[in-house]
Amino acid sequence: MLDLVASLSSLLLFALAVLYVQGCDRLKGTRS
Amino acid sequence: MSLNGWLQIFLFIATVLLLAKPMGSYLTRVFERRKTFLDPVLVPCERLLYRMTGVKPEEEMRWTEYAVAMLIFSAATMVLTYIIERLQHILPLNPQHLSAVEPVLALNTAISFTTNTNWQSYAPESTMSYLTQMVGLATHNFWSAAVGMALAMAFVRGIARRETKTLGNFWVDLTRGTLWVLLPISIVFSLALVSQGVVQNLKPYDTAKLVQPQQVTGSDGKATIVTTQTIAQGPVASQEAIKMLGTNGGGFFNANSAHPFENPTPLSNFLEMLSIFLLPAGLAISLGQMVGSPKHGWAVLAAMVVLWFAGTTICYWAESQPNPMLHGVNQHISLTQSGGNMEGKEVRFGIANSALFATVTTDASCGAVNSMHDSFMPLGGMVPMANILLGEVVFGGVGAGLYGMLVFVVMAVFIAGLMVGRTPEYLGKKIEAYDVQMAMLYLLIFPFIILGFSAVTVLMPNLGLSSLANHGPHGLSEILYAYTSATGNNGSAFAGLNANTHWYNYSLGIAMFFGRFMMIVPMLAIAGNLAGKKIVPASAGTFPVTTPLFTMLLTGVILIIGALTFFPALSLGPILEHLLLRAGHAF
Repeated sequence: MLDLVASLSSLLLFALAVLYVQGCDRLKGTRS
Repeated sequence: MSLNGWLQIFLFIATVLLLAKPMGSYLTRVFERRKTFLDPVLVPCERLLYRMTGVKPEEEMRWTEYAVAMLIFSAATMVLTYIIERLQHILPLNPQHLSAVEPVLALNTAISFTTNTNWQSYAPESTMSYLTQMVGLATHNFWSAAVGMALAMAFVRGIARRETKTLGNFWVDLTRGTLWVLLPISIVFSLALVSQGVVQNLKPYDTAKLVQPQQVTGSDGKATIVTTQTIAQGPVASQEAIKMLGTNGGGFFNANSAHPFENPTPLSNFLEMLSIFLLPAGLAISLGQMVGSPKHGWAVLAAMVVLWFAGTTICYWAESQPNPMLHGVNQHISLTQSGGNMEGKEVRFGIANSALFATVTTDASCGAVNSMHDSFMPLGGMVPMANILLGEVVFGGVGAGLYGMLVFVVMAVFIAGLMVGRTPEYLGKKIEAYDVQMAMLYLLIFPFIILGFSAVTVLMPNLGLSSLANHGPHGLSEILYAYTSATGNNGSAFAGLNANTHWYNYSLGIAMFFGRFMMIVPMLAIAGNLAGKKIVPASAGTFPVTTPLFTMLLTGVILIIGALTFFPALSLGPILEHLLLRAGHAF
């Protein structure tokens, strides 16, 4: 069970990091 | 403080500065893919690796592609380490028959080694098999350092290039950093450590009969007579070399570089400290060479040396002070007295080399220790913590120190531009709103994680405070240091805190992850944005980044940002403890 929690939480963290990359890239387009 | 101590400190920094240029020139050649003396051996290996993995070395990457490649690599290697830890009981090279690592601890350790932190919530010799240490952990010592170097080189290319969208190829930078830099130096350094007595074997642990049997009281209150001692063995030298060179810091043994099998002599201690600063110093010189302004590299290195010197001086001074609680004891330096605080220090290193090691290991993101920081005097212990809180840009981790410093350079140039009322420029590149937004994101994430987690932890008596060995301001320092070390990807422990609990394993794991990847992304965003800009010719209003004035401004910006952010927390921890110790209260 804890192995599943560890796997899912790692997956979530890295998915969050990829979204963060996209977010930072998009922010560039919003500058005036 | 003694003349002997200062001579050793100056010998250390002189050697670092002497090696900085040759190291930097070599790094430039490696990452600009120019000829080196190792090419005949390594180029075929490099080609084979690309053919096996399908990497096209000529393909360039945008910053987003570079970041995602780095994340994919980190995720894959992290999972590999987790699996090895969980299955070590059925895998070979486990002569002590150690059981599988518990899941939450395995996750914490996998994140820790992937992020170059090497925080250890466990005693390695009684938890990790030889296979786990070699394949699961030591490989990360190479990879995470190579990732750091690759990222620093991407940033430097962002500064050096003009009107382009790409920063290089992550897979090529990773491969060249590992093959050309980390592996060869580690091999030579391992042999040097073996010559000093560092062990390197795959034997089961030895058992020695005690000359004097000891009575030990267990946690159940029962007293037993102990007649034997287990002496841990292992492939230590090969791991020790990259542990220091890659600014990783995770010890093969729980006592880390205080253990005589990891760091047996004053010479091995000197070499270990030297190897921590070798690559970060070389990278600063490489920066200057790659952007076409060698003096800029030296100006950045000068700021690092100034901050290193300040930290070393304060730490050495603080540790050389007599303890005010020891009334009537002559603590002045003499033939029979070390002249200060020797608690938690190895006699073979003494006060000067313990203070220097503590400063060096936290200036960089190494985290190896040859003395126990928890046993330092309050202000002495504050120095390692403050070094990490400044962002570990004083030399810093391999690669991570340089890109962290470059974010501060962007801020320094921005502030200089505000002072004279003109658009700031950095080496001909205009620093605009997006660059400053990303730099601020980089700088704000760091204190947000450290102070946020520390605040939550001190509010939880059952989860956070119950792990403390000391209370009062010293207890706060123990918690603050843990989250500082994790977020800064340093990995050294203040000790006095049992971090092997679900709360600490999870929260420190998240702190390490965010402290690494959430800071890398905005840094790469700045690099990608800088690469696309035109070069503006220098004019009379351009702020020069090669002068002592620039070094002073950069140093000032680092100190002011660090002080404004963390002084309140430090004043409630080590500074208050210092004042209370003077008043006769110890914690």
